[in-house]
Amino acid sequence: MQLLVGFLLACAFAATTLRNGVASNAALSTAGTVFCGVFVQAVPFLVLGVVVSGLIAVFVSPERLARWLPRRPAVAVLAAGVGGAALPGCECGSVPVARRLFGEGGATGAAALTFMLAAPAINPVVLVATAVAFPGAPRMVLARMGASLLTALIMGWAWSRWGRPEWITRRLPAPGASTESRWVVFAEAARHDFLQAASYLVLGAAAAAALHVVVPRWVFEHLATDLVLGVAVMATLAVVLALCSEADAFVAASMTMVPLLPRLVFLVVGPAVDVKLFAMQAGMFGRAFAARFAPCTFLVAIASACAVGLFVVGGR
Amino acid sequence: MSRETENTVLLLVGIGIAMITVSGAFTRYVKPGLLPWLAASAVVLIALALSAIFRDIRRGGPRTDDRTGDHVHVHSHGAGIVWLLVVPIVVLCFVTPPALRPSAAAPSVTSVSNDVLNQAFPPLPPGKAPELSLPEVLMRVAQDTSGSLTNRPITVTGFVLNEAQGVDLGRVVIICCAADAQLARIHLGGPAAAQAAGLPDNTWLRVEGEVKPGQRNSIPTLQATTVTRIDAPANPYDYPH
Repeated sequence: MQLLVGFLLACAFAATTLRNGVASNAALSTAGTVFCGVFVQAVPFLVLGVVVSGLIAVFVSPERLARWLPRRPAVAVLAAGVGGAALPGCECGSVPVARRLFGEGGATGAAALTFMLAAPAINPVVLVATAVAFPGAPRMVLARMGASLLTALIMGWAWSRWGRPEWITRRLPAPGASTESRWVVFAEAARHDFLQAASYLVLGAAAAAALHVVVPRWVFEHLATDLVLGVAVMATLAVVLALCSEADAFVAASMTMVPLLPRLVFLVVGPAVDVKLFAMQAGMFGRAFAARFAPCTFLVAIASACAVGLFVVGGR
Repeated sequence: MSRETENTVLLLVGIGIAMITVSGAFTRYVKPGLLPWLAASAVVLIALALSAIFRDIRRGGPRTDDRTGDHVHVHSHGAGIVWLLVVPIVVLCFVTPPALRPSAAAPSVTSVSNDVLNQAFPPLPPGKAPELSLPEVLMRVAQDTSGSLTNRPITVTGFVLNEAQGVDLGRVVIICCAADAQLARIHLGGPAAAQAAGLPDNTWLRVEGEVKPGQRNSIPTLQATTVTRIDAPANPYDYPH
């Protein structure tokens, strides 16, 4: 506590120096602005996410969730994937919600992970944004929804088949004693989830800001014109840029030199895995989990985007 | 990190968000439309922090995690990471980085130039030379099938970009947040372009002029008739929607 107060006081006294130092250095001020952009943009969604996750902590116990979900795991995953359409937000909010739903793993684990991948990509807000960004290509909306849902389902089924509970090294705090009021349970859950998720969001936003400054944009623009190379470049770009899933459609629409299929890959990979999500998953679930889950999601997302894309929008 | 420090950090993050929301600095990073959501987030965060602090005070001292044995272990395990939240507090409250400069935005020729996206745009607003945003002008040049810009003077605001082949009018466009910024630009030509040519980069101008049709696949040229210097607008970016 004393450390925090001392540090902040020092910063307050040095505020003018800090501000001028950042403003006079082009790379530093760009990185700072991009960092603030990613962080400030994510905060409202994160707050919505932790409010939902607090409500889940109060009203939805893992036992109750297991009773609601269909008995067969494969069907439960399917239900969770379609249910992802109900959370209007972007990917930052869905990580804490999924962590709450995940509980101790068990029966609901696979369904929670499917929900985490599906929610940011197929909810109505994101689909409308995609339709607005690609007014002449309504098939992009269809292809995006199909490919993202497919990715989420495959990862859910893969988890129920090969997932190991010991990869989950981060546990949620034990639910409070039954004497605590509902408000206290809610506030404690929301407080805990925000602190954890936002800390890792800082890490991810900083990584995105650094990459923005270090990697020149023309590298991607010149490499992306070839179809196969384009898929690889756009997938990497989706991970590196860490855009909000409500905005990525507009960015993809503006990359007119790239064929449609790589742009679809960009839209499918982005909400499922990027640097900021990786950091948040590592924080909420554990490093062993994120190190396996994120690369696997990356490959599955590329594959299902290519498969669905070739079928729906063709190799353009 | 102790529980009381965590609460303080949570409170400060809320205050930081509230500060940039009230001061308007948040428009350097995200769209103005996010204002109510940012305000609500700040209120929720401050309320969560204050309620935790008051609960702890009522209990007499910070609540200790003594409910279960292994719980304490887990909490201490991942708590150091919360120190990272000091970074946005310092950056938002004390540094407040400036709005993006044009060199940091990705160059974009025209916003969207696929032929499939062509459509008839609604007619321009009435008046002698209606105000249009630069991204809208570029979209109309590239995609409008109704020729709404033909023979209509328009007024466009932007900053000076000196290039080897002449002077451009530019504007940084963001869609969602500063991470997706793009640079929209239009060449200046015509009788008044010489007035803009002598000015340093980043001088803000209001330019009246006409865009000749048939410039679909390149950066279009605005034939300027009058050029007026203006102060930098409060809102540094432009938004396509």
